[in-house]
Amino acid sequence: MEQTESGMELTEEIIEHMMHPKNYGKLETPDGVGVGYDEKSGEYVMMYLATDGDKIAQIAYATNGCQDTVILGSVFTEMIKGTMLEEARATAGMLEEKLATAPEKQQACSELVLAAFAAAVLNREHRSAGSDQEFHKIRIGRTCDTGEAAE
Amino acid sequence: MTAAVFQQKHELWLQCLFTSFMVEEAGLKAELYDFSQMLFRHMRWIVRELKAAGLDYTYDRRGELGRFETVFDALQALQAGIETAMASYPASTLAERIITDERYLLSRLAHWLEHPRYDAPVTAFGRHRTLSGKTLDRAQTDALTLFLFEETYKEYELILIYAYMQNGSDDVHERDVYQDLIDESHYHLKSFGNLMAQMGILALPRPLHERTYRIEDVDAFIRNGIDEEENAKEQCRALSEAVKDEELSAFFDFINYQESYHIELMKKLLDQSFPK
Repeated sequence: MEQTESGMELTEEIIEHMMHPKNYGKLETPDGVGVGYDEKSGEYVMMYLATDGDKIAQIAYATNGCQDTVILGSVFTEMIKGTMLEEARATAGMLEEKLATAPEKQQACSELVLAAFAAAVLNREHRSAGSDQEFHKIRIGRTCDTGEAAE
Repeated sequence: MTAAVFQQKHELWLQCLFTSFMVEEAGLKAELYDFSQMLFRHMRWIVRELKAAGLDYTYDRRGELGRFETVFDALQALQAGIETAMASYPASTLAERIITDERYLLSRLAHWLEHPRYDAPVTAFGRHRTLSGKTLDRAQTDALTLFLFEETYKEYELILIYAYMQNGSDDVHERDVYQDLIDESHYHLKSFGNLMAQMGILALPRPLHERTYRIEDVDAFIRNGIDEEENAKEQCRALSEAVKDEELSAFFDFINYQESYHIELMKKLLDQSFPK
C-alpha cells in the first residue's frame, strides 16, 4: 500500500477529503470553541461545536496545518457529528489509540485535531458554568515540525 | 467601498483564476488568467479605500468551486458572478474603473460563448491523477498529489497573508518586499493549479481562518515562514528526485531555487522590521 510521507494512504476517500474537506469553516453560534496548537511550528486547529443537549448538532473546524491535519479533521468531525459527547470522546480515544503507532508527524496532526475537540468541550463546560471565555486553548505535546520532509 | 464588496471580489478573483486553470485552450486560459490578476488588483484597491475609511475586512468566503461539465458552463458561471458583483459597487471613481474592467471581461466572455470552438468538456475534476506524456508510478503520483494540495493552499495562504500585511504597513521597503513575495506566490499558485487541473484534482484551497492572517507576533510569523520555505525547498528537492522525469524534475528544481530567494527576502524583511 502506498502512503503519504506521514503514513496515510491516498485512497479515493482520502482524495475526496482533500478536495472537499467536510465540516470545514466556522459556526456562527457555537456553544464551544477550542484551539489545539503547536507552539513550535505555529500550526493550529480551531474547532466549533453546537450542541443540542449532549448531542453534537453541528461541528466545524479550520486549520493552517498540513494536509494530514485537514484530512484527519475532516474524517474525525464526520465521525462525531450527530453523536453524543460521550460517544465522541470515546471515538477520540479510539482514534488516538489507532494512530499510536503512526509516524510522529501524523500523531502530531491527530493530536492537534483531538486537542481542539477537547478544548471545545472544555470551553462549552466553562460557558455553561457562566464563563465568558471566547475559546479554550490546549498546547500539544508533540510538534508538527518533525523535519520528516527531509527524510 | 464595503467589506462585503471586498469579499465578493475575493470570491470573483478565485472563480476567474480557477476557471483559467480548468480551461485547456491556451489563448482563453491566458486571457482569463490576466483578468484574474486584474481582479486581484481590484482587491488591493478596495482595501486601500477601506483602510482610508477606517473599515476592516476579512478573508471569509462563501461557496465552493462548481464542478463544471463544460468550459461554457464555467464561463457562464463566471459571467453570472461578474454581473452580481457589478450590481453591488457604491458610486466612486474606483467603482467606475472596476466596472469598466468588468464590462470588458463580460464582452470577452460573450465573445467566447458565441464561438463553439471554445467549448470543450472540463476534465479538471476527473481524478484520473495522470499527466499527459508522463509515466508516474503510484508512489510518485501520491507524492505529487500531496505536494500539489499542500502547496496550492500554502501559496494562496501566503498571497493573502502578505497582502494583509502589506496593506497594514506604511513602510515603503516592507511593502516592496511583500509585493515581491506576492508576485512569486501568484506564479507558484498558477503553476500548481494548472498541474492539479491536468491531473483531474482541481479544488479550491480551503478558506483562511482569521487566526491565520491577523498576525500578532510578526517576528515569529516571519521566522516560521522561513522554516516553511526551507521545508518547501526540501519537498521540491525530494519530489524532483522521486518523480524521475527530466521535465518535472527540472520544474521542481526551478521552484526550489525560487524558494531560496524567498528566504532571502524574508530575512530582509526580518532585518527591516526587527533590526538587531
